[in-house]
Amino acid sequence: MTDLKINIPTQSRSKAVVDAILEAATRILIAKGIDKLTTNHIAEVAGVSIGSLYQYFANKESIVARLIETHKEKEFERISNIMNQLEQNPTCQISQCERKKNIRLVVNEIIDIHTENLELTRILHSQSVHLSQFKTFKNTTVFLTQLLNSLLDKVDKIRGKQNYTRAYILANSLDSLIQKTLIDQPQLFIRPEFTDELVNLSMGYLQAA
Amino acid sequence: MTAILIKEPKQARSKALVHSILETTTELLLSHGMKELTTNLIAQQSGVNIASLYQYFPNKESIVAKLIERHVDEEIQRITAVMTEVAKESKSSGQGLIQEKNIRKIIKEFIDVHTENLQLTQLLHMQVSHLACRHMLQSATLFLSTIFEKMLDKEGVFKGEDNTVRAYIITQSIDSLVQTTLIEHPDLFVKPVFLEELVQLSMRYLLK
Repeated sequence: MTDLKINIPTQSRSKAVVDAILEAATRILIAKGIDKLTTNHIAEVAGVSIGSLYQYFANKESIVARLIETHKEKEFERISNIMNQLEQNPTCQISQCERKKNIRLVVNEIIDIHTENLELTRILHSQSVHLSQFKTFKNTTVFLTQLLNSLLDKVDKIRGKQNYTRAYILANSLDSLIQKTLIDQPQLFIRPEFTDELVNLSMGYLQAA
Repeated sequence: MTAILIKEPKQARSKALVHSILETTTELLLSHGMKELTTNLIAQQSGVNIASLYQYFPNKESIVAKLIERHVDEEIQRITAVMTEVAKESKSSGQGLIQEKNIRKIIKEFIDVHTENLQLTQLLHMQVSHLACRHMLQSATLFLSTIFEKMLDKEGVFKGEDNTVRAYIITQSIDSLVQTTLIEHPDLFVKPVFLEELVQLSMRYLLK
């Protein structure tokens, strides 16, 4: 009890400092880009002393790494929410028409996660490529493969054992298309045609052989 | 005449020198890895003077970049060869290009190029992002994309439409699957199901 009383204010204060730093870094990234991001600038915008900043983060890279992690966590949470909804919904087994609707739901959600703050997401994704030399980020393909595999096992028992390979192939295609298009072709990324084609690719592939 | 004669052996010699540097670097990459690779070691093992090495390459990174370029060139050459063969057969048989067996041939060649020397290809691919050589691999992807786009323009349900995005979608899928599998899941390459699933993914998308 005593411990809690002492720790809570300290923890919430340090949480507030970390939050302010992350928020300031986000604002600078969006407004000025990665080149203008410095720990001094972040501390200034966050209203935090540079000494406090270095208590929590070793350098600007570790701040960006934390932003990427937070973004990934949100992404994973939203994807697993929508997949869970589908898994519990028995209609996804019924007709091709329902199936297409469901696939579109998932693809739309993944695209939305990235387009809601397109500029920031683009910066974080391209930085995650650089920073992956130093740090391992959660792998979206691995995550999506697991979810798809479990969904396929439930709704599509025809090819049983091969569901893992099918899930891997589809998850990898979707994830890499989204990542590459986000970075290399943002103008295509926001076109409805892009979503349509991802749905077509998934639908075609998941059709019973 | 003299000028030519003096130049000729020089060219052959310099070609041989570069060749020997590249071969030695390949061997050293496989046996020692990127970290232990140094220009001194390369010069020493290939029997080339370090000064001569620096005449052609500024550092070890540029030598590895050259190896990546060579790998991509081979990729493009081999896919061109398969494509020519497929087009010839299709012409003489009167059947279209978008056939399961043709798509299988192209994808199989693409996989084979990457797996025949699996360890080296893995090493080179892992260096791609470090050395900022992404554009080199992209040229191979772009090449594959042109092939699919031509196929789609000529025949099938989407004949006559703008097929740029469709070609992009299918090529990126195949390319990234092969690249990711190369690094994270090389065991999958030996399973015939991997090739079959890539063929199914492509066929169903191309013929939707």
